[in-house]
Amino acid sequence: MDKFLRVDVGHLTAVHEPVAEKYRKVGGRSLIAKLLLDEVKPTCEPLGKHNRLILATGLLAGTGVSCASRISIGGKSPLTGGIKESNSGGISVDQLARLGIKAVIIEGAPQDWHLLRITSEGCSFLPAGEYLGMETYALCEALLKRFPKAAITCIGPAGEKQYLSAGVCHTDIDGKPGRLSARGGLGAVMGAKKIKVIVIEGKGPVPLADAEKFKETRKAYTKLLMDAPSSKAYRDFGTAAMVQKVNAMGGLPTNNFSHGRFDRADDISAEAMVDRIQKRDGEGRTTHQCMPGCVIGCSNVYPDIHGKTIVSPLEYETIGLLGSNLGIGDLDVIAKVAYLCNDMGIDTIEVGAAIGVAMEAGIARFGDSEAVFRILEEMKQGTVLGRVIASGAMITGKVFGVLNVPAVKGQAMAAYDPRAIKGLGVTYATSAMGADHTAGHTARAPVDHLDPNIQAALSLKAQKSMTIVDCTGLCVFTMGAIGARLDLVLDLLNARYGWDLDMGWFERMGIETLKDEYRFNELAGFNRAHHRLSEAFTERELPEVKSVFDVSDEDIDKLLRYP
Amino acid sequence: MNDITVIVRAFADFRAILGAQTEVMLAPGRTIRDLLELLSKEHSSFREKVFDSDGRLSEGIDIIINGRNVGHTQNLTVELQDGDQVFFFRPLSGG
Repeated sequence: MDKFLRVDVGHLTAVHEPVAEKYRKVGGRSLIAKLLLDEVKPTCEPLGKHNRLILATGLLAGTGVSCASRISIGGKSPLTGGIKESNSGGISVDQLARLGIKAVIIEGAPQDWHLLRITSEGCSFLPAGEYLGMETYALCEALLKRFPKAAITCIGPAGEKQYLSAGVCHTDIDGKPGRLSARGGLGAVMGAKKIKVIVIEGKGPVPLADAEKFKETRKAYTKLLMDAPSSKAYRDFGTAAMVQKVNAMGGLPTNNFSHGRFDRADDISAEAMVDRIQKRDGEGRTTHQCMPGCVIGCSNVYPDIHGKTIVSPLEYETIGLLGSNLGIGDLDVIAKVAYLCNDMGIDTIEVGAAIGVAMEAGIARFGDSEAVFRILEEMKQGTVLGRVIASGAMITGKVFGVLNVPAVKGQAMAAYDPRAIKGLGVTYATSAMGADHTAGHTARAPVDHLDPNIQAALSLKAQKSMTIVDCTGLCVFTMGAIGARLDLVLDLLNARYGWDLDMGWFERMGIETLKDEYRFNELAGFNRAHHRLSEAFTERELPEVKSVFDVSDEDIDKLLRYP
Repeated sequence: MNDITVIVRAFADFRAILGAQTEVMLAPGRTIRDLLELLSKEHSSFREKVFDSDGRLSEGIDIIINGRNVGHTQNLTVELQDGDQVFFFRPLSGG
C-alpha cells in the first residue's frame, strides 16, 4: 500500500502515514494542489516554517511504463506568492515509487543542514556540512561514490542562498543533475528547510492489481509511442526543433522580447545543433534518455569542439531565453551558460529573462556573452547585482526601472512571445503557476495562433490536457502519440490499482485540479489583476507579426470559471 | 502575368527531402495545395509525409506562411504571393 513520508526538519522526525482516501486517486501536481490546500496557509511566508516542500509521484510512477516517471515538486512559491508545482524528468520518482512512497512532505523550521536518506529501511537525517556550498555536478559525483545506486535530488548554491529562481535538481540515468524542477523558486524552499540533498534508494517492482492486463496494455502503449512520428522527431532533433518554428511564427523572444525573429536563428537551431553534435562526435549524442525506459529520447548531450560534454540536455527554452532573448547566437556559449545554471541549481528561463531585462536597462549590451558569464559569476558570489538577477525578471525590472518585463504573477515567460502565440498568452495569464508554458501549451495546435477569438478555449483545453500528464507522471511529449488513445492510460491506471475509472475521470480530475490551484491563489490574495498580461504585451506591438496580445479580458475571466 | 517565386524552407526530416531552402516558381493564383502537389511530384517521399491515404493533409506537418500557421486552418486554399516564405515543420512543442 502506498504511503506518505512526512519529514519534520525541526524535530528531525520522519514517519510513514497511510494515504487518506481523498488523496488516493490523484498524483503529482493534482496531489500537491490538494495537500497544499489542506496543510499550508495560503498567506504564509513561502520561505518560513509554515510552508511545505512536497515531492510527489505520478500515478504510474515506477511501473516501467515509458515516460511515466516524472517528478512533481510542490510548495508555495517564493517567486509568485502562489501555488507551485514544478515538474521534471530524472530518476528520483522511479525509485521513490519503488519504495511505496506516494509523496514526501517536508515541513517545520530547521536548525541545521541535513542530507535526507530514504531507503527501504526508513528515512534518516545525515549531517550535510561537508556538502554545503557545493555545486550540483561535483556534489552528485561525490554522493554517487557514497551511495552508488541512488537517485539524487538536491539544491545547488542558489537554493542554499534562497534565490527566488533556484530550482531543485535531479540526477538522470547517467547520474548527472541536469534535470531541474526549475520553476518558481522551489529550490529556495528546499534551502529554507535546510535540506541540501535527498538520497533515494529504491528498487523492486510496484504492485499491480491486474498484472496481465497491465502488461498487455503497456505493450500496446509502448508500440504506439515508438511508432509515432512525433516521437521520431523528438528523438532526431529534440525540443530545439522549436527554434526555427517559433522564429517562423514570429514569436521567438529576441532582445528582451522586443522582437519575435532572431537574425541568427539558423545558428541556434536544432539543425545546427545536430550537425555540431554529429561532427564533433566524442561524448555528444543527438538522442538521450532522462529516465529509465523512455522510448522517445528527446534529450541530448552537447559536446565542445573536443567532443567533451558541455551540458546535457540543451533544450529549446534555454536556447530561447539565454540565446536569442539575449542576442546571443552561439550554441557553445548557450550550452556553457546552461551548464553553469544547472551547476548553481537555478532556472535558465528565469535567469535568461532577468538578464534580458537588465540588458534593456543598459547593464550590458545585447549579444555580450562575456557580460552574461560575469553576471553568472556575480550570482555565484552573491553580489547585489547577482542577487537582483537571481530574484527573477520581475524584480530585476523593478530595480532597474524597466517596464518591458516578460512575466506574469512574478514568473518569467517561456520562449514563446504571447503576441505571436496568443493561446500561450492566455495560459501565461490564467495559470495559477504564473507564466508557465507547461501549464497549457498551445503552440503545437493546428490553428491560427494570431486569432484572438479562439485562444481562451484552446488554452483551457491544453490546461486540462496538461493536468492528465502532470497527475499521472507522464511526459507531455507522449501526447502526440497517445493524446487520441487516453483509453490506454485509463486501462493502465485501472490495472495498476484495481480501479474502475471511466473516461470522464480525466475531465473531472483536470477541472478539480485547476480549481484547487485557483482556490489556493485566491486565498493567498490573488485577484483579477494577477490574471492579466502587462501593457508591454497588450499595447506594445510585436513588429514581426504586427500584433499585440488582444485576447479579451472577458474571454480570460470566462476561462477562470472553468466551464 | 509573370510566374511568382516562393521560397520553401524545410526543417527536421523534411530537410533531407527538400533541402534547407529552395525557390519554386509557380503560375499566379496557385495555392499552397498546388505547391504541395508540385513538390510531391518531384519528391515521392514528400507526398507520403504530407498527405494521408485519403489525400488529406497529414497531422505530421505544420505549414507556416509569413508567420501564420495555415496548413490545417484554411484547407490549403491560401493563395501564394510572389516572395512568400513557406516553412515546413513537424508539429512539436518545446520543453
